[in-house]
Amino acid sequence: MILLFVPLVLFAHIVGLKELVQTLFPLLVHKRIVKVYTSPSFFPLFDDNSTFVLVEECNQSDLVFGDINCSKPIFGLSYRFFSTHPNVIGAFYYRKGRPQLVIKMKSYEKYFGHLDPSLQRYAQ
Amino acid sequence: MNRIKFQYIFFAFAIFLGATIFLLYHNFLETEKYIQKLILQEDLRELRQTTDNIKRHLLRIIPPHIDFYTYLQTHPDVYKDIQKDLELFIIDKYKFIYLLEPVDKDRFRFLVDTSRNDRASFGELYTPLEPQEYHTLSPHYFFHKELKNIWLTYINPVVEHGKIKALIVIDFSLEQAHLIEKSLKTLENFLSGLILFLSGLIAIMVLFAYFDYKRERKMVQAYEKLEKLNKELEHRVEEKIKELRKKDAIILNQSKLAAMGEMINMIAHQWRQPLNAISVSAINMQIEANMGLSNPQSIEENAKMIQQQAQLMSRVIDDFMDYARPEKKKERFDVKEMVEEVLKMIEPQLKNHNISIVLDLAHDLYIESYKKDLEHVLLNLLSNARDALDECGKEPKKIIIKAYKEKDRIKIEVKDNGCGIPKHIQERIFEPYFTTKEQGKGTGLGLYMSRKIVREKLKGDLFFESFDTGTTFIIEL
Repeated sequence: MILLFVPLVLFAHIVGLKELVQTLFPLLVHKRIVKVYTSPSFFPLFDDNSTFVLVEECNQSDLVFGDINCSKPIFGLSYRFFSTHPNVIGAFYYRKGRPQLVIKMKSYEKYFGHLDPSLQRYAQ
Repeated sequence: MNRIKFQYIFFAFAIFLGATIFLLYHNFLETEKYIQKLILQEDLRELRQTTDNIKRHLLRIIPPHIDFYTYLQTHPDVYKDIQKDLELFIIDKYKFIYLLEPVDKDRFRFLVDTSRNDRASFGELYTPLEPQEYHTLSPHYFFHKELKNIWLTYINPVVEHGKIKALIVIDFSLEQAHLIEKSLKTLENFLSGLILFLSGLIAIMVLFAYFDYKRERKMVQAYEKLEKLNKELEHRVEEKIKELRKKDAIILNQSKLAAMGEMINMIAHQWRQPLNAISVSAINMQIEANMGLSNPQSIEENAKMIQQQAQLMSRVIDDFMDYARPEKKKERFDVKEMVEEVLKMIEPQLKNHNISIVLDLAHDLYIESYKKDLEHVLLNLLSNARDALDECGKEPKKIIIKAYKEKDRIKIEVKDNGCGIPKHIQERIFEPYFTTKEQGKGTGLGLYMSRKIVREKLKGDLFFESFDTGTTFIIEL
């Protein structure tokens, strides 16, 4: 029962996140197809070939997904990483059980220029 | 009828039981709602008190007219103290206790967060799912429907001059309330099941009672019908008995007449000899007178003879009168003597028919019974034996009369050496008006009346054994 339950929960979490990255990343990067570098555990989020291209090297990517140290713009998954790493342009995490989406304007503008108006409300 | 009344009581009881169960269930549901409401009220009261305490504490520490964010930013020691103080309030029920400050319409920032896990940093921006709920000037709570109601968020604002300075927020766990609710739900389910089961049971019982009532109604109707039929039958039986009694009276009368005829016949036989003797004496007297031979001595002898014969005839009359007299009381008598008395009446007639009598009568065979009735039966059996022997035509004709005791019962047998009773009529010989004799000779009532007398008055039995070699009638007393 537990063995069945855990993958289902994980899967449900991934489905929500998948929708988010599919909508959010092209808007952030201003590209129709985004080159993403991430850890293998997040590969299923980027299996849509019409939107994402998974790259093997961090430096080849348009955006790094996850709390990964890289010189390219990073979309983090925790507030701590978001607030400490200079290359983080935004993050998605849960606070008090509520999903939080934040975009660090200073870093973002450094990499991508202006932010899409629909994302202004998440900017810091 | 009592059973039908019982069913009415049963129906009433079933309705009463059903109503009681319904009221019980309704009362339980109301109580369940009340308990849930009470628990929530209690929790809210507790949350209000806790947040009010925190509010008082904050207002004591932080000076007025300074916003919390600026003050805590410039006084890290105060920030730490507040955080430690708020940590004291943490219990299992309070999942998160934190202070927020509104930034804009949708966003807030953390001032203090006491959460053990998932602790936010000072000034961290925060976007709740329901931001509109946080813009309140008075204590407020809401459930997290999107989080399946596992939390209740309680907000108590710290307001100064109509402006929210901070929001004391507690994410209150509803786990305990859910546990109670779950227990109540289990109890409710059990009660529902029980009610369903009892309702089914009552329904079955009512159905059973209804069918039983219908069956009982049918039975009562059938019983009434049967009772009516029984009354009709009783009436018909009474009518039939009356008719039979009338018939019996006629038969008895006819039997008496037949017996009388038989008696006259016997008397005639008995009288024939003395009448002859009287006639002879009278003729002698006439001849002697005509011839001038009469003398006083011969007249006297003839007169004596006539007198003797007349006395004999008179005795015969007495005997038959005695026989014919109705008997009301039992008497103790010797069976042998009784048989001999009967023979005295019928023997001349039997001799006239060349029938010899053999007697095998036990001595001192006494019985207490109706003597005349027994004589009547015996006489009838002897008459029948006589007629049977005449009809059969076998020679020599013989009647054996036996009387003996067997296992406390006295038996009197009348056995003839005739041709026996044909098998096809053996079953009918005791029926009234059944006779094999030629018309005018037999009434068919002799054996019928004899058995009736033996069975009903003498409390015995009359039966027969018949073979080709003759018939034996047995009176058992």
